[in-house]
Amino acid sequence: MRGQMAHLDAEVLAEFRMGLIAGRRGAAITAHLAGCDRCTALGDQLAGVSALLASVPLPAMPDSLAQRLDTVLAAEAARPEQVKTDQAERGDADHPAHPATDRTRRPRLSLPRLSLRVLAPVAAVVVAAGGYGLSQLAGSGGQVTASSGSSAGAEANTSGSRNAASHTS
Amino acid sequence: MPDTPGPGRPEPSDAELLRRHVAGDTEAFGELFRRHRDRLWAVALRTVCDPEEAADALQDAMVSAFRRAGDFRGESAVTTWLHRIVVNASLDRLRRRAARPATSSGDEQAFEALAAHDGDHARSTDTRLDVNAALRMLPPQQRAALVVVDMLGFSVADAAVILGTSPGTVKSRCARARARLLPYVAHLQGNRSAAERVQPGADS
Repeated sequence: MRGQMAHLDAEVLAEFRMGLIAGRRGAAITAHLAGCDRCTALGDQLAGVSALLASVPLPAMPDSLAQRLDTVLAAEAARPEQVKTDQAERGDADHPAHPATDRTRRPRLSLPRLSLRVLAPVAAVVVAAGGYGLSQLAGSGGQVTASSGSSAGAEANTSGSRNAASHTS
Repeated sequence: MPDTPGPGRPEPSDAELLRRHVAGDTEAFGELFRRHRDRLWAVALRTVCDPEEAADALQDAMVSAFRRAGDFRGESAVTTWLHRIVVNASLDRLRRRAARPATSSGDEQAFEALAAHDGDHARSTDTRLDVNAALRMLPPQQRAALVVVDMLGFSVADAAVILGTSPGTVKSRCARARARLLPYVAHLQGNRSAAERVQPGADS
């Protein structure tokens, strides 16, 4: 970042354009762009990616699917009792978990489907449980480890059902 | 994207429709869905990249929204909430698909589709097909961010709600996705300017 700056990487430039790079590094990029046609052109191309995506027309929903969903929703409307049951079970709809049909099609997450993100807290539970067992044997610290184990268990449940939308990709 | 009807439109707002639904109006949710279904379909289709799976994801999402509408807190616009449910259902479908070995070669197929297209890209008129093939190569989380922000035009703040993450993460995913797409859509940009100059094939 000192003296002559090398040409910008597309990802760095894209991050800069999103305002993710500030401070001295951001100032250095600004200065570089002022004198570099090549990187300025790259920035234009990145803007072009967004423009291109925005220009693609939205697909209209196929009639067959529209009819199918109307039928499904009409069937839901015919089962008012189910609404209350499900709402009571599922909690906060602002933070939707798995779709409703998961309950019938996939009662529980099976291990091969679990992502690392989901597995990590599960592993934490296993480790904590192991730690708990060992500390029980050792006769000290069992209380603390047990409580961390149960909170990790709660975490595993929520991150499992909250989906892995929080994956960093 | 607006949650309330524009001036001169007598229809009830989205929030009003949702209230009516929760109050037992059996028509209200269907009307709400019909109002937004094309955009909801678009986000499912672009995120999942497979019409059948996208249809299943959208159905899952709408049944879920129907049943849990009473828990909508009004902290975001109704459309934001609906999109969030659809994105979650779509990403969930993708995770299940990724867990199935037989269909895990989606990336290779996308690359092949692109390679096949490169041969005659100067004559290519189906921008949509190319964009879809390029989108398919992105990791699902990056793709979802780009679909919501660049294709559907949501603000970063709304996209953060829809994607269940922070605005900074949305920006980062969009930035990485755009950089990643650059080599694959550059020829489309070239084509468009070439077409505007009425010189087909000039940049090939």
